[in-house]
This record gives sequence, structure tokens and C-alpha cells, in this order.
Amino acid sequence: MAAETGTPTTLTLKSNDDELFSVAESAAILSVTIRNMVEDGCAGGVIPLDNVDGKTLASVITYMNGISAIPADEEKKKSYRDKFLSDKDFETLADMVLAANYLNMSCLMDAVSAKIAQVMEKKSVGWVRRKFGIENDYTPEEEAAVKEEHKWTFEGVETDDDN
Amino acid sequence: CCKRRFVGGVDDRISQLPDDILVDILSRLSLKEAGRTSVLSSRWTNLWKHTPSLNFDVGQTVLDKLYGQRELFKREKRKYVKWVNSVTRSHKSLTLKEFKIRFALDKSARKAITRWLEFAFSRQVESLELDIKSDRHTSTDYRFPNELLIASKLQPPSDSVCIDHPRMLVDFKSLKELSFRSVQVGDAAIEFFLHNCPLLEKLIVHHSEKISKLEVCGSSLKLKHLEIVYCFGLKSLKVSAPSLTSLKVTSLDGLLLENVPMLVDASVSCKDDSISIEHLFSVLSCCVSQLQTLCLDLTRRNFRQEVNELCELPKMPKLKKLVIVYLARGYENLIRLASFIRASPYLVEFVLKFQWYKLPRKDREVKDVVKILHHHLKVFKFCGYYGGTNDFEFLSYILGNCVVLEKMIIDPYFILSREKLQVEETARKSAEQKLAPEVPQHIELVIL
Repeated sequence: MAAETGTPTTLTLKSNDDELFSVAESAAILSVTIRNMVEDGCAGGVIPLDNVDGKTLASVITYMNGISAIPADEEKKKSYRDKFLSDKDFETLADMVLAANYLNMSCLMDAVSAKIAQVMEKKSVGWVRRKFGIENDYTPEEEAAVKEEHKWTFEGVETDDDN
Repeated sequence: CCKRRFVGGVDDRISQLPDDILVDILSRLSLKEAGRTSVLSSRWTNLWKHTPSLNFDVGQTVLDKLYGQRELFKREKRKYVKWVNSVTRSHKSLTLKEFKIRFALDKSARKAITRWLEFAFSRQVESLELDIKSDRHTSTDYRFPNELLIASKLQPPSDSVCIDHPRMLVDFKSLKELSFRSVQVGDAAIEFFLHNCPLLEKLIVHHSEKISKLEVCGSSLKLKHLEIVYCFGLKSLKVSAPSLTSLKVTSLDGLLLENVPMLVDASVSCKDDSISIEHLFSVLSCCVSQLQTLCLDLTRRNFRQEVNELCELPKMPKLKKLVIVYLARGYENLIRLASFIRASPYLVEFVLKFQWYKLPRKDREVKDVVKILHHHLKVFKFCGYYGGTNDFEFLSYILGNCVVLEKMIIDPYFILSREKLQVEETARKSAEQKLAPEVPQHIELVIL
């Protein structure tokens, strides 16, 4: 690592659709997957990230740069994460959580999971199905049986949507 | 964990996420909400059963509603036991981060509770909380089954567990946090946990009559947080724990602190008139100079006999936050508490929780306050303010001496619910009319 020379080391990441990205090593090693490659000396050339597309990787790198620019202040980091995720639709969030999982970035993974969970909070089954396009493949009998088995999950619960 | 996968439409992105990510998402929902996702589609039937956290806390409002309602309570209790039973029976995660029971239960639910404990320990639980305070006498409290501990010692190695012998293998090695409230658990069991759970960091025991002579001692203890609260049978408590940072006790009887070099946060109460402030500080003598937070519950103190004593408090050079809970009997003089401020030159936040039932305080003259400047106190919170002479005198002391004060919070909280609103409104008015003009512009005055 070339921290002593004053010029920060830059890594080149390659998405699965062959886009190349330059990113400061200090930001990229937020990903444990990338950090391990750097530590094993496999980061000399281009680092291929086979499970992440260019659009998602660009977004993840924006996050890496943003969060690593914030000094050790958990509150500021949290508010950056909230802001970063605030305008993302579910498609993007799903791509992001998969990428975070693959790159082993627990802080991003936590934030995206929490954000998706937040959408489901206090909502009825019908609302969640519609919101996420979940196709109900239960037969009426099956659904009744699952509902019966999980009767306790409907007790004392108020949802804040119409259905 | 399900038979059919990816059955959803192409747009059903969420159902296409891998199991571990979906379980991670579900683990951020409440247990009921996570369980409810089972109805979404077959992809979701069993996902929630893999979440690592089982929190059966019904919340204080539900418990309050049941208080005193015998029939309703009986019904709800049966339902609660059934709920926990059904979830623990179907849950599939092999390890548990959290297992929490909170409901009013007594020994009539003995078998079920013991089964839940076995379940939690067999899943290598990290944080276990059993909070089952019922409004009945302690003699009906659930007793912690010591057999559980003996059984764990006699268990054969895990690979030789017979299938026809379904008793679960109990494991305490993962335990980091253990909390028993209104569980009759004794010294031996607690000491067993201390010495058999190498990762244990937090130990909380409230309302156990069976705690009598407890030793929380060991050079290898990882314990950071210890609470032994309202254990009225306690005769002696010896604490020697090199990593301990926070301690909460309600009895100073027989408390012996040794080797607590990391202790910075102490909460103590003198539940006994025979224990003086002087004695309290002698018990804390080995750590008083390192404390950063101190909470003193003096509600049972009788200050009449201690007029001079408060002047001789030991110096607390590291203290940043002080909380004093104080009960008025009518004759006391709050200004005496100012000696705590003088003893803590670096104090930043002071909270005074002043409790009183009636107003016997005669409106005497406000005496001129002594001038001993304090250069660090920034926040002062006064709970139980009414606007009497006593209150005023103390606030004058603060305003006159604490030269960097930034914020003063007045909470007219009144302890009795009967006249609560009326008294609090009077206090609020008094604060706005009498106190507000006295507070300089640069100090933020908050009246709750």
C-alpha cells in the first residue's frame, strides 16, 4: 500500500458487463471481498466482480467514496446512508443488497435490509404482495392452513394501509 | 427451506432474493410481522422460522391493560404460553442471538418456561431475557430449575445424543447476556453461569429472593454490566471483575467492591435509613475517583441527621453525569445537594429527580446562595419542579454558579396520578412566570 508516498493507491474494478471503474483502495476495502484480494496480492491488475453489473457497481462505488470520506462518526455515517438510499426504488435496492452480500459489505447490507424491512413494517399481507409483485401461489385451502398455523401473527396487529 | 422456488412472476424480485438475505430482512421485523410473511406465498412459508431473534415481549401497555383483570388475564396468559410454545416448536434456526420472554407469569407456567429455557440454551442463545413479573406474591414466582445446569454437566458429547431420547442438549457457552426478572434464581445458579459462560458480558437479576451471598469474582470474567436489583434477601455481594464498566445495585448491605478498574458507571440506592451517605461513599471508595456516571437513589434517606455530612463528599474528578433521585418529606433543604456539584468539578450534566407527594414546604425566604463557581456544568434537568422556595433556591444556586450552563430543563412531573394534571399545570405556569425571567438569554430553558 502506497500511503507513504502520498499518492493513494487506486484499484480498477470490472463489472460483469465489462465496465471498468477506478476507485481508491482505501474506499474499496470497505468490501471484505476486495480487501481479501488486496491482502492476498491479487489486486494488481483488474479486479473482476462477476456478480455485479455496471449500473449497480457505479452506485456502490459512490457509496464507498461517500462513506469513507466521513470520519469515525457513526451518526454522520448513518445519515449519509439514509440519504444515499432515500431515492432508490426497490429494483435498485434488490440489486444493491445482492451486490453488498457478494462484496461482503456489512454496513451497506444492513442499511439496505433495514430499508426493505421498513417498507414491509405495519403492512397487511395484501399490501406487501401488491407492493412487491409477489404472486400468491397458495391454493385457497393451503392459504387457510398457513393462516391457521400462524394465527398469532394477526393478533393485536394494526396495519396502516387499507387492506 | 421451501419446496417450490422462484415460482413468482418475473417481476417478483423480492422472492428471488436468496434465503439468507430474506431472513436477514425478516430479522429486522417484529416476530409477529416476520411470521405474517408466511402467508405471502409458498416461497415465504418457512423463511421467518430461520430468523435468529425471538422476542416475545408484549410491551408495557398490554401488561398494564391486564393488570387486575383476572379473567382477561387468565385468558391472555393461556394464549401467550400457547404462542411461545407454538413458535418454539416450529422454529428452525440452529442458533439464536436473542430469546426474550416478557409477560406476567408465575410457577403455574413452570413446565412451559423450563421448556423455553431448554429450547433457548439448546440453540446456543447469546442473549436470554426472562422477565415475568406478576402481581402476586413472590412465593408463587417461577423458580429457576437448577437441574438444567446439572443436566448440562452430565450430558454426553453431542454426537452420542440418542434420537429416541429427545431431551435437548443444553449449551451455555455462547451466552453473552443473561437477564432474570422476577425469577427465583439462587446464588449457585448465577455463579454457575458466571463460571461456565466465558463470553458473558451482561448479567441482570431483579426481584429474586434467593440471592443471598453472591460472589461475582474471577480474574478471567468478561463481565461488563452487572445489575443486582431488588433482591431483598441479599446479605453480601462481592464483586471483583476486571472488565466491569457498569454496576447497578439497590442494596449496599455487604457490598464489597474489589478489583474493578474499569468501573465508570455506578447506580446505587440507599434503601435503608441506617446507611449514611458517608457509608455509601466508603463502599464506593475503590472506584469513586474513576466514575464518569453516578446515579444515586436517595428516596429513603433521612437527611435530618446529616446536616454536616454532605459537606465532606470525596472528590469525583472524572464525573461527567450525576443523577440524584430524592424524595421530599417537607423539611429538607435542596441546597444541600449542591455539595455534589462542588465535589465533581468536571460535571457536565446533572439530573435531579425530585419526588414529593404533598406540599408541606412553607414558603420561607430564599437565602443568599454561596458563590463557588463551577466551570463545566452545561445541562441541568429538574424533574418534579413545583416552584417552591426550595426549588427556587436550588435553581438560583445553579444559575449563579454554573458559568457555562447552556440548557435548563424543567419537568414538572408529579408522582401521584390523581392530581397529576392540575399540579403539573400549576408548576408549568410558575416556571413560565417566575423562573423564565430569571434565566439569562444565552441559556436555553425547556419547560416540559
